[in-house]
Amino acid sequence: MAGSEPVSFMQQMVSLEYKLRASPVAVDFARRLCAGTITGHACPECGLVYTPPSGFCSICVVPTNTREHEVEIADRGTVTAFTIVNPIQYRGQKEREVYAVASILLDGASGTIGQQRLGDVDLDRVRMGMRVEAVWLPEEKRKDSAAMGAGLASAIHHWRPVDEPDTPLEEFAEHII
Amino acid sequence: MAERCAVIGIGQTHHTRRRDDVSLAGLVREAAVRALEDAELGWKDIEAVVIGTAPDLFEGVMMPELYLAEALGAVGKPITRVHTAGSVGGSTAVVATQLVQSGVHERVLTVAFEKQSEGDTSWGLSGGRSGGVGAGGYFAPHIKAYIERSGAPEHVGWKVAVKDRQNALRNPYAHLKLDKIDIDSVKGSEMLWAPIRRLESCPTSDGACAMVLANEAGGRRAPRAPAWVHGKAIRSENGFFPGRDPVNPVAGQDCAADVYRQAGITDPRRELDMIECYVPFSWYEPMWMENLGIAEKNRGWELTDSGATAFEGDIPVNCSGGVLSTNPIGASGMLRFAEAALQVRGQAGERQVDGARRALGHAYGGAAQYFAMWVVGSERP
Ligand SMILES: [Zn+2]
Repeated sequence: MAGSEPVSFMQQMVSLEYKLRASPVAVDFARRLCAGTITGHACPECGLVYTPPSGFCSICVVPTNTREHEVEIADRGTVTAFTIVNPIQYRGQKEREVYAVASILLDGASGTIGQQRLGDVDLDRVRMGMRVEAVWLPEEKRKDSAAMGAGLASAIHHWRPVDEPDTPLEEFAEHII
Repeated sequence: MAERCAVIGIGQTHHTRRRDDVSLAGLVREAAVRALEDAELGWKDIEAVVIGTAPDLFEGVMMPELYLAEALGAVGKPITRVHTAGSVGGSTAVVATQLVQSGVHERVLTVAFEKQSEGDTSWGLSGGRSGGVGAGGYFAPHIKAYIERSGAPEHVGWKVAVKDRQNALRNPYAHLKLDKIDIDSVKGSEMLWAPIRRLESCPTSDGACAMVLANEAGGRRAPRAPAWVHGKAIRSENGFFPGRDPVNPVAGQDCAADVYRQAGITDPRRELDMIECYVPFSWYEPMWMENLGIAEKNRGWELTDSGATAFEGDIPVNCSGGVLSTNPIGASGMLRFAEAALQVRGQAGERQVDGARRALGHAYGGAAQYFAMWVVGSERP
């Protein structure tokens, strides 16, 4: 604008550390996960199995937060969708190499877990329907990240292919993501 | 609906990678001043302001609506901020429309913006951690699923990337002006998040968009032909639940059905003259054409491939160049709404679709879970 002073900018990097208090459901999930078991909650009304569980069924709007709703989920499943990521080098990005992430429908779960890292696999061979299993971190390295709201990555390093026939697309077409 | 609502002023900035000649406040004011000039109104004529932008983390300015009130002439007036992630520009316009249709206000200024150069969106979308995949990495598996399900040939994505960039050459406000782009250059560009290539992705932009909305009396008095709102709707759904189909989300279908019903549209392919649709990655054009009921399920790619969505086609999509050419995230949805309105006002310059009388503006956001749409027309409903 004519007559106004020029605008100047300065770079200011800030850091922000915070602690999240996780819900009892997330704490429980993390504890079981660090002990080597993936758990989910089965809805008493529609029967859908949620993992990681949120403590309620968002479709039926009923709580699933007591022990009787808890079910164990297999640490293997089917890749339902995936992408090969060429990591953008934003500030703080430590990834340098191309890698694959997938949505995985675990055996016993009704919905997929998203953005799961694949490993021990030729990137050209990643496909929808591929069967994979968890490669767990050694027990002492599984951080009990309950206080941060644990994700599967706090105990599972990556997922690798297993020698099983692919799941046909029609079996998971309704559960892609 | 008690009152009719008319778009009587539209303004936008010349979108670009970095606007270091203006602050955030200067950027939004530039668009707002242009919208007021178009409506031949002053700040005092505005009764309320509704603004929208993407999450604060993108620019690092907490609650910018507080500091922007002065720049937008909103001191002493109601100012509302809308939050719906990437769809926010559309939802913001819908909220502003509601303030007019409900009879609460006669004239409302609505503004949406993003100054991506002031922050780092990839970092923000990654929650500030390493290993984040950004929006492209999040949506790529959905696109992969669409291609697998529909059997679409891979050149369809490349075609959209070329078409929208060629359209942008007719839009003086568009950010990317890739006059040499062709199928080979798209196909040869770096794979970022398979199957999405660099030239199939949206840019990082600074920009703002503003509109002045008025009631029926204001619409009749407007110095230039207004665009009348024939229908507007917002829908959202939970981003993660078993059985959700993010490729063709129910919330998007419901939102479209609602705006069509309000506008009295039964055959959108024939009754709409053009569409401004939120397509940040090329494949979202055929995907959203299905979600919007313009094409049958799994056949949206045939529509795109046939040339129907090109500028000369029978249902042109993104004549402005779309999000693939201009992406100030918070403003991107409002730009879709504003471009649809410019078309039915006959004010779209070189990108004008001949005789456009009815157009759809569309925006989506979050995990493809938030939707906002409006149908605008040249005739008073
Ligand atoms: Zn249920």
